[in-house]
Amino acid sequence: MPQQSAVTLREVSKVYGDVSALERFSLDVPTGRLVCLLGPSGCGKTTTLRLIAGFVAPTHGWVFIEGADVTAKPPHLRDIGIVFQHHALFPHLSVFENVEFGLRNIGARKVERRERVNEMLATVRLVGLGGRYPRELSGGQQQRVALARALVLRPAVLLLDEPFSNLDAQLRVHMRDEVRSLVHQLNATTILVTHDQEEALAMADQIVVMNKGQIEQVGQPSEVYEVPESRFVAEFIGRCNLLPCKSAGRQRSVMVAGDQSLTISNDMTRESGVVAIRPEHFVVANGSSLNRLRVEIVQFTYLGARTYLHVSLQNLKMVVDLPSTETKGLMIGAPLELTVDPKFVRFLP
Amino acid sequence: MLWQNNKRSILTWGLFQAIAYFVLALPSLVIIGASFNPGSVLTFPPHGLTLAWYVRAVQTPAFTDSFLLSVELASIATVLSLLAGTPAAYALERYRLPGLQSVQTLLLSPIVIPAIVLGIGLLMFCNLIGIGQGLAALLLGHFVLTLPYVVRTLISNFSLFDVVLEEAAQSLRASRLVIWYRVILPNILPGLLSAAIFSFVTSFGNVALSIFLVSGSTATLPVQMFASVEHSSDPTLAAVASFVIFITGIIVLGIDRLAGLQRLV
Repeated sequence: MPQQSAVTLREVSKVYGDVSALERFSLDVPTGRLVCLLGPSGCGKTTTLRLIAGFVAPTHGWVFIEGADVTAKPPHLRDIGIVFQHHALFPHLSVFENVEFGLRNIGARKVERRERVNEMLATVRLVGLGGRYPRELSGGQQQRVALARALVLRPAVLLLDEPFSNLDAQLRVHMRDEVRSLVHQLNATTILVTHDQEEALAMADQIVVMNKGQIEQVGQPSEVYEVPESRFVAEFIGRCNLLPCKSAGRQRSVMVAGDQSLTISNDMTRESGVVAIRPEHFVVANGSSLNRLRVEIVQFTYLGARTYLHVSLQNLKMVVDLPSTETKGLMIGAPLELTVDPKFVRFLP
Repeated sequence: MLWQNNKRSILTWGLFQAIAYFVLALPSLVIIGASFNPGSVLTFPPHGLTLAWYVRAVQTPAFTDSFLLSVELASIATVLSLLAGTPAAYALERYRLPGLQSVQTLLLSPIVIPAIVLGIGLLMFCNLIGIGQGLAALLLGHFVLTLPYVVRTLISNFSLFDVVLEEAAQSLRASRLVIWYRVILPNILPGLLSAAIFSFVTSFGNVALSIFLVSGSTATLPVQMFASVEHSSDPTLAAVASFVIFITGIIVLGIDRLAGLQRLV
């Protein structure tokens, strides 16, 4: 069985009643990496996490942690750590006792426990707060306790279940940077579950995009953003214009909106489909530009450095994201010629 | 609330509260007053002050024996009810299994069934299984009597206890046993205390059920008091009753200081 993976799922299916949450799902999480399961609610990402933790048993398939089959093992016999959405700190225990909880269960001696807890509290910058109770801590501090509590056992894999969703926006950004540098510093294999694509892009070494219990695409953040392999991925991660297209009869060339031709970056697998173009990949055309689209401006949204243009291409609506410096003098209702580098135009079936 | 801004309403409300408390406390006040009355007939208001009836009560074996029996019975019944009721309440609250609702109704039914009916039923049952009247019958009866209070109190406690804490403990290598004594029990401690008080007080004060189950040599304190009120009106009874009121008051106050009564109910 696979050795270098911290976690391996093989052909895992999970059926609830007559609803299939996961279907023949396989995944390898390499040791020391931060892998993000990203998808809309109901895509099976939380089920996947709970399967790895052992809170639910798969209907079919196997779960391996560090090469050992743990499919039949209960959670407390698996080498995992979890940070829950609402932290789930023990309210009746102090910060120190919360972090110490797991060490007691593995039979660590008192001296060792104190040493490891203090070391861990220092790592998450909570020195001096060991005597506090969870209710006396801020949201960010509670999160750090939850992390310390899980990491102090040096688990083979750290599972993060939407850990930032109940923090306010500013703290969320701060905590995700902090968590990322912490797990990298400790070289802890981490699986993060989130529906927030920005969070996934910002934190993950590898993103697993999930939909309807199956994997849509696996790749580095830049890969899933720049080279989406399906309409779902293109639309779920970032903003994307999907324009219906037909083959123009030549290699890597399509017709959109009836008569406008575009050169694309990949081979067409079917006669018709869509082309995906990110809003920020459009440029206002000048005299010599190729790959042009003639559009009409419908609406502006000025956002400081950038300006969002809502435009129509025949009767197709598109969003264009331009530097505000390039949108001076443009008017609603006016025609506009845009161009896009072929490498940013992808055909999707 | 609007009426809180209105001074006259506050006054009216205060008066209403005072009357309500007074009416509630009146029987206790009467009995306590009567217990200090030197005369040999149970009367109120008292015409003097004496502790003679308390001395007499302590010297009456029928009262002291039955008091000890009642304490013993209430304690054992409470412990049994907690031991059986805690897991039962946990299961009823946590698991959604077919038929569990009926089990819950059955478990809680002694609260709504008149105790006298329960008493007759239990008496027939005890005779049927051959234990007859006596301590064993009383124990069984009081277990049935107190269990619903424990189950009801703890169900509401478990419904407030976040199951994610158990999962967190599991992910931190805790076995089921460790989860129970290091996570669940500490968090439901107020509920356990409250259930224990309800259970103890219910058992300790019960007449209607006990009266069917006592044998000649094993009368509980309330049954003994009930019996003695029939053939004497001497204030010893008032002293015993007052004593029970004091004890109960001390327990409730003590627990209020320890845990805060508001949190329990």
